[in-house]
Amino acid sequence: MVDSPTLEGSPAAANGRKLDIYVVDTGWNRKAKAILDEHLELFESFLGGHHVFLLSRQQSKEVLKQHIHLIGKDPLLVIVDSDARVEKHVHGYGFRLCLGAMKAGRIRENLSTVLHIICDQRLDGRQMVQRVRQEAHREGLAGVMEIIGEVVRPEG
Amino acid sequence: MEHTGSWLTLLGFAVMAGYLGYRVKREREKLREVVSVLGEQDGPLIDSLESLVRRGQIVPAATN
Repeated sequence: MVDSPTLEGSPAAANGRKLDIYVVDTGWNRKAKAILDEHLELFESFLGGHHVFLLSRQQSKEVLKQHIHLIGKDPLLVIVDSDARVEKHVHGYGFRLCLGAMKAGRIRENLSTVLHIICDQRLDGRQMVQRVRQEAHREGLAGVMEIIGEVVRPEG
Repeated sequence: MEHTGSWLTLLGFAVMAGYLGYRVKREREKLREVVSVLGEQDGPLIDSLESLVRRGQIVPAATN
């Protein structure tokens, strides 16, 4: 693997957990792309010590051609805990976030949630994945409440 | 007549509950599409990404 610039005292350096973060974006979803582009520099600046890989548009297309179930869901953030993968952790190797499949209004909030989780020095790989599950559960409950509101909302 | 009214109310609730269940199921499926934990099934995707790194086609962005 190519060596990355590592910042001393960064979250990753502090807890020893180093993640590979891949940004896959073919430009399919312009709204999501614009939001990601707007925040990418800031996003990267919080991730010192982790490996952030930005795929070109062409590389993104090549990857999605091999994984057609992901077409139309990009930009994708694929966060991989390589150590967990090598050790074949049962709790998972990281997580995948499909920004293009989200409501535009939720992208910023979800990006900041991802940053919170990645930058939290107290979390090991298993706890990180657990936090992602919790957040997804919370997001699901919020969605359910929204649907109930839509269904039972009186007309007018 | 009274019975018909209460049956209609019950039917209304049943339809609403069914629709609610359908929407919640769809929402859960959508959520699974949006965020998912990487496991064995994602091995090929991770391999594709890592092979780009191994071939030197992508390098880590400089963070500061």
